Amino acid sequence: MNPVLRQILAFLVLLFLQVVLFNELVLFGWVVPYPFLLFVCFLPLELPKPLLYVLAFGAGLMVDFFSETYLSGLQAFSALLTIGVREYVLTFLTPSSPGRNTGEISLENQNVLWYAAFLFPLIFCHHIAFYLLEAFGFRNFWYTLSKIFLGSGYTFAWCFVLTIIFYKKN
Amino acid sequence: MYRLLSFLGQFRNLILFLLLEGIALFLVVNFNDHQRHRFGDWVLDTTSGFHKTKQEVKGYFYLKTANEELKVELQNYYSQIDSLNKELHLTKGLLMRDSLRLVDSVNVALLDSLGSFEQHSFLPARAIKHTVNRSYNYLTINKGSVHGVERGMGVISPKGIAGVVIRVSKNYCLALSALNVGFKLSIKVKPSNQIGTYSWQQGDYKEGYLNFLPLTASLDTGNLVVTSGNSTIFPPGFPVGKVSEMEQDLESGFYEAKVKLTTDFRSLSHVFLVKVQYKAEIDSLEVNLPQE
Repeated sequence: MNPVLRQILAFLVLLFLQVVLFNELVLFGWVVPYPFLLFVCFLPLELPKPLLYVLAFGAGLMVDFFSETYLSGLQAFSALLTIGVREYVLTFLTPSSPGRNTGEISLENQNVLWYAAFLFPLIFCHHIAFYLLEAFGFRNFWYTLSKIFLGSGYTFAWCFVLTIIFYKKN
Repeated sequence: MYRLLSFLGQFRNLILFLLLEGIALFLVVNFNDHQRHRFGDWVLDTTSGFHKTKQEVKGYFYLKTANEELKVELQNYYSQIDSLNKELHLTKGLLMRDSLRLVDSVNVALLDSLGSFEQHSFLPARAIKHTVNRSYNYLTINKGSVHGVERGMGVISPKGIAGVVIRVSKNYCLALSALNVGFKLSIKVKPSNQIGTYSWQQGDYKEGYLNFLPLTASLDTGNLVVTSGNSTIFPPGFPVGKVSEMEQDLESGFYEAKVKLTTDFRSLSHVFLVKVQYKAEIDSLEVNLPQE
């Protein structure tokens, strides 16, 4: 399948699931999972940075638009921040950067530990930005902080589930 | 220029990143009530100090105008105080009249004399001791020279005349009661307005005598007898009593009439001392007139 088509399809599926399903799967009544981040985190590495930025921004904005709770901007901001952080996480994980030129980030030859070490910091960064921006200040800071930690774990769990379901070894 | 462009080009990714983040932030702040309000609060907090200082500095330039405005306002208040004072005096007078309220028919006569009441002031006092059974009855009243009481001031009860001050000490004064054989008063009979004289004889504390009213005047029982105002003791038109009995003395050409006093001397307690404003001045005009 054409890689571009595959990305578009992945985005549409994730967006659909996010909007229809995951926005409703509210844990304890106050933590929402955001597995659409899978799309942002696994955007092809070989794409030029400006395009990566625009895609992440657009993806976040789409989720914003289709979420009832927030009119706009929150996810766009956080998703863009996530893609900005990604290269530093990758550099940290693989100093020799073998994956740098391989196009898509592949889970081949990678174990679960790598997966977690790669994905969880990104999700965590996203959630910090997202919930701080949502609270827009440090009032109820402990509430915000617990949302960040719990939400990161919850999102990561769903990402893991989705990866297991949809990932197929080439 | 080229260096600037290349410099910008070096950071074009960062610039794009920041630009997009800026747009996202703008959207957040602009389209979400909570964030907008928090942002607004923050802006207000950080800038309010500046606004305050600016306002203070600005204030100095408007001091002159403010002064003028305050002056005008002060002027308004002064004139308001003035008119309120006038009103207060008027109300005081009215209250005094109210406390002197009489039985209805007497009231009319009182109201007639209201015009002249303005020159009179009334000092409330108490008759601490008084008699009604002797030929020479007196009232002892608990106001003296320290309260402004003078010899010759009239004493009235809320219902009618009571006496005249004849002696004044520091805190007390003694008044000749209207029930005293030495008490003579110029009176007027309503409605004819003929002048007569009031006097009293020992016997009945409820009735006095009306003398020297010529037979040419019309008189009937029930006619109201009031002060004439010929002296500077009582205000004119103040009630004395009502004619209860009358007969015509053809020999002398005067009526012989009895007057039922409106003042209840038996229960006399609350009295007012009448001060005529220009008493001394009026009296001084009449001193040393050539006598026949």
